[in-house]
Amino acid sequence: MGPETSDTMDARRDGFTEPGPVGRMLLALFAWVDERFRLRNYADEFRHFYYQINLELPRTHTEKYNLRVIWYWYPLYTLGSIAFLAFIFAAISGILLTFYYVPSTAEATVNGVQATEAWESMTVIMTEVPLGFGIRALHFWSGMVMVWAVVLHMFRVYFTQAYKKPRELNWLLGVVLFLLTMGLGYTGYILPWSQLSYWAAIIGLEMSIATPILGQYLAGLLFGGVELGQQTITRMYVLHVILLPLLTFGAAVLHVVIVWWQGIAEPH
Amino acid sequence: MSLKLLTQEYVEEAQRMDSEQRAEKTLRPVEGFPFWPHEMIRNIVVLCFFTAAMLYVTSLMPYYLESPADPAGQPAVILPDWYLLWSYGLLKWGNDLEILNGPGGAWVGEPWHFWDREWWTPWDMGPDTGIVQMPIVGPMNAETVGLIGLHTPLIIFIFALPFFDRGKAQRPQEQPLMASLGVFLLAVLSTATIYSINNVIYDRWPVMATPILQEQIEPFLQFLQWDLLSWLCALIPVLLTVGTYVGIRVWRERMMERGDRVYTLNRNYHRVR
Ligand code: HEM
Repeated sequence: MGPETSDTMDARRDGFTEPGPVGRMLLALFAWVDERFRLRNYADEFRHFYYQINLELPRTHTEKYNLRVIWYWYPLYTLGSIAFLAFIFAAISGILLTFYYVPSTAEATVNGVQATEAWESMTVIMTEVPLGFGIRALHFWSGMVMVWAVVLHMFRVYFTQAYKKPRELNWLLGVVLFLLTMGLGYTGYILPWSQLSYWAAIIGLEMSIATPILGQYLAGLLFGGVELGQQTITRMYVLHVILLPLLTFGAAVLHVVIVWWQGIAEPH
Repeated sequence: MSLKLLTQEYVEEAQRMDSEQRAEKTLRPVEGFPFWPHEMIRNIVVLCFFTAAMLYVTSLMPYYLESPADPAGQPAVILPDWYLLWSYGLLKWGNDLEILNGPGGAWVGEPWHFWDREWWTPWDMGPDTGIVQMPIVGPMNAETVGLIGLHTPLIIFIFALPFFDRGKAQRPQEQPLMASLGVFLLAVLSTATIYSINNVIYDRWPVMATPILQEQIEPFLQFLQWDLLSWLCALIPVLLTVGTYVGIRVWRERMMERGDRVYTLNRNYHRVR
């Protein structure tokens, strides 16, 4: 990829006279929708906005001084995208899992073992649903990868000091995303209602109760009371399946739009 | 209006806008490497590889299902998932370290609320430590020490970072202090993670529980009667931090002496900015 100037960009856009067959189909589709909703006004504004951004390519440090070096930290710049893709994988496999998972602590006996309906539905996913174990594995591994990617991404941003002006607010949004990711992991860990889930929920419950002044209310809000039960699993389910994913998705999209808007902090 | 005409109009409109913008010169340059398409195009290669690796790992390693919850039978080891261990470790530090809990745990106990009598009469009701208690502080719950006392500075540091670290420097080499702070953060989170599973470690490597320098330390600093694991957890971050700082400084001096070409260019570039 050679250095790009505004000339070459202009030349490329001059070539925009005849759209190809796909382009023509898209245009026709757009025109059809436009006749009904008058999207053109917004489209023009959007196009104007789009061309304003990133039109003039800055020259990197390497180009400016004609250095024969490559930015060897580059792979670390893909971590944000990896986190996003892992989130998408987790969302898709998670939707499939909710078809079979039952958020209930009602008693159930599986092969003579005392358990809950939640745990029973996990065994159904693992043994009876076609490829159920694979979907669960995909959900688990994409979650793991997402956490790793987010943490490493955060440290890459820290060490390349990309949080400085003008990117302060995006860093804050990133911290929120980090906390949301932790929250997604924690609430998901509770759902199977296995030994580890149960005792991890106990730790979380005790931590919220230990919060000064707000303790009781926090426990009531997050765990549905100071004792674990059906309310706990319902709240964790709602948090893990609806609230946190929506917040994470919204915040992540906003985060990436801001990156697109501001450009990546120039690697040099 | 037919579709064909409408389509044609769109094409002409696009051309008109283009030339208009070029004439107006309203385009502003940005300070940054464009995310789209320049960054994303090279990311796509990595993302394809990542997708393949993901499916490969998934098909090789399904995730096991634990035995069902048994509220009566607490397992020997309770752990949150690995990425939360650092937080659990901070809780344990808050609980275990005498340096945080006062001599003999004097600063912790049942928390006082401002509506309690103890809050207002600490000199009367407070524990007999010989230390004047500030009424505002009051004894804390041992869990609160880890939960509030150790988590809050961390979160505040992370949130406030872009507002106190300003300026144009963008490489760790240009700011040895911030670089070593980052290393400190990373190291503390790692050692907190390790400390959170201390019972497993003591079990498997009993040598980690050896008390260190008790006779020498006890007369002076009672609260530093730590075992090997605690000393490692406390010293490794400090060593790494100091090492990073000194390392960067020494490296910079050396580069400067040598008149390294890349170094000089970087420095000039930094000045220009
Ligand atoms: C779900 C979590 C996250 C997603 C999907 C995400 C996504 C991205 C993407 C795709 C980029 C473009 C550059 C790159 O990939 O390195 C980016 C940049 C950035 N991210 Fe994130 N991120 C996440 C979490 C975080 C966290 C935890 C932080 C910091 C606390 C953060 C702070 C930033 C900043 C400041 C930039 C701009 C960096 C630059 O311009 O060089 N992000 N993010």
